[in-house]
Amino acid sequence: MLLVIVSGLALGGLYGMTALVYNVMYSTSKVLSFGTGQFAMVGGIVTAWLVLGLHLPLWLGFVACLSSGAVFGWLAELIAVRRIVAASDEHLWVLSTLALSTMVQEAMAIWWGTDPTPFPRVFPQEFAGAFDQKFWFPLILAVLMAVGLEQFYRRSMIGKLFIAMSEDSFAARARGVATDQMRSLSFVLAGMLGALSGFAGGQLTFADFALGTALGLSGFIALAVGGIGSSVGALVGGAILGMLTSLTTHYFGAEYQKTIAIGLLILLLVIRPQGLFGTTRVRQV
Amino acid sequence: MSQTIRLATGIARRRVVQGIGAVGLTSGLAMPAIAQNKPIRMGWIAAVSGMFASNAQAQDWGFHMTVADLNEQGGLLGRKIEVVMRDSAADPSKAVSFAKELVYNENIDVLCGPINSGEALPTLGIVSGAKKLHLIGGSVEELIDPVKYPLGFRNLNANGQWIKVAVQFMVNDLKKTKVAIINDNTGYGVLSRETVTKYLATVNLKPVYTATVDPNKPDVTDELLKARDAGADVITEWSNATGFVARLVNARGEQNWNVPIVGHPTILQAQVANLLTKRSYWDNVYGLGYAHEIVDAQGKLPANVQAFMDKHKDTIGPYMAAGLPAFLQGNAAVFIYAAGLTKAGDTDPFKVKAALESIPVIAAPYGPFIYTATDHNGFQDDGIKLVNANAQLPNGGYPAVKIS
Repeated sequence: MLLVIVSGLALGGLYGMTALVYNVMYSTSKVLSFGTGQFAMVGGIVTAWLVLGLHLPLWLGFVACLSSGAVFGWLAELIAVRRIVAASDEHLWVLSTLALSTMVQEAMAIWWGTDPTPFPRVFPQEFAGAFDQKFWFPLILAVLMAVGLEQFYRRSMIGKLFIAMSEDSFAARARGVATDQMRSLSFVLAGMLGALSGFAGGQLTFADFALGTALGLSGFIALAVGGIGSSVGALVGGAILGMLTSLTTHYFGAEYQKTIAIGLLILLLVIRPQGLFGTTRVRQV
Repeated sequence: MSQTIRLATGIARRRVVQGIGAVGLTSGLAMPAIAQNKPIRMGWIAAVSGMFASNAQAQDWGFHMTVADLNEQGGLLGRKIEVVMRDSAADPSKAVSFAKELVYNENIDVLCGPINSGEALPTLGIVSGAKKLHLIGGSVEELIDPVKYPLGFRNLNANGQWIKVAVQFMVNDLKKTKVAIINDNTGYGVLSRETVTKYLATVNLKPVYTATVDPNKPDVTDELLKARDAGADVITEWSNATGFVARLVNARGEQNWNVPIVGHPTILQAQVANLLTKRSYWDNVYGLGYAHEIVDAQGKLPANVQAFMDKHKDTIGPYMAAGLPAFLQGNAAVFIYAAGLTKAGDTDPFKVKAALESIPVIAAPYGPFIYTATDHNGFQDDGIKLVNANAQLPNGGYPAVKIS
């Protein structure tokens, strides 16, 4: 039973990190990018390529992983978001981010191949059952990421500007905030954090071109469950989804895990549309 | 000419080609000169990019090498063979449009492929409607129906054959009766689960646990624990997703649970081995292999297989990881058509069909094929052998399994 719980929490950590990445981009752009899961896919593959393929040290692989995420995030904002958001209020970013996500996934499949490949061990450790790093590493990093982001939003100037933009980006711009640059910066940060989640979960997921789509969907469910905009919500939403996936398999069988997970999302959205930790925005008329 | 046709080995092939030359000469006398020189056009649809790329690339290589061998010997019926190849990228809609293009616009004599069931199914009506001979590379039972698709022949085993042999192995050789079935949630995985259950019922067994799992699920520990709790003494897995299969084998190893795993040929692939936390986790794992992979006491592969590999040793390297069956399946498509065409002496698809149905055994390196007017499956059960995943030899073969 311990393994079931630990494995569920590890999955929850991965989903939670993806939800946090959604939040970072959403705060400045109101865009829920369909490419969010692809940051993890790119980060994982870049690390595996450098460390296991080119035999470079792990620390260098880690730096390259974060750098690749940063570049991908910056390009995603530049190509799929900036002009679309400026030109239209019709949520066309759904199409542009989906298109970019598909292109990146196909490009990685062509370059890297379609078979999953191994991911390096991060710490020297023999497999240790429920205490193995492949379970606790994503879990610990998810908590650190949530705490770090909260501190970032509360204590740093850039974090406060992100919050200001999430409240009212027109007002922020009127007060001199360079909103385009801030949005671009938030995508760079999101790309890095997404790649970090790929690094954290690589031993569970392998370096796999197909990871992004599945992770993007699960991360979105975690986000909706926890409440858009809340770091605690993202973490709790991820944990709930991960545990539910694991326990559903254990008690009812693997056939029902997706139905129950998606069913939970629908139920929650009906009862509490803003999610567990989200806030309802009151619009003055 | 001998009724058992051997093509891929050097000496045997030369013998057949000599025969082919004679047939071409005699039958060609009646044809206009232009038809005599016109190449035989083989359509070939393979998903060399996309989900199943590594296996398809090896098949594609085997296909082209076999065509090159035949052309080197003068072609078939004295005519060179031309391959018109299309990459369907594992996309059924692309497979359909390529099938239409090849049978209607490219004037092919035979269509080989698509090489997986999901792509092959929607092409059946098109190829049959165009009255072209069709060598089908998918294993799903529904692909073959001599009444609805009289020109369709399968050039590998059917999925049911794999499952039948796997169930016999679990019950008769391993002496296990508490079977857990773990499959992925693709159409293939679900269909396989139902077929395993059906074959278990024939020996009065019911699975003690079944799980249908998303192949992208990052961890399958819970499925394994559930199977263990259900008292399983053997696991049979049905998936061709390497990541999923490796996670399953890893999860078993990490639980120190030495229950045998018997499964789909994917479990034997090097791509799975690369993903294992420890190579020893591959012990007590049995995958569906073929008689053409079983080595003799000296560790040697069957002569016709070895001859094909030796002839192409300079280019075979990248394709060994997918295993011998992959490139030999590509070889089989050409081999079978060549056998039928040689006997028919004419590219008319109905004459080739009649020839294929009348050859007692087509002894392809892939395995023996016997087609009849009522059965176009061809591949024989005894061509399938279970092998121990961790026992692969450097030449790609396996020793015969010995159960202690």
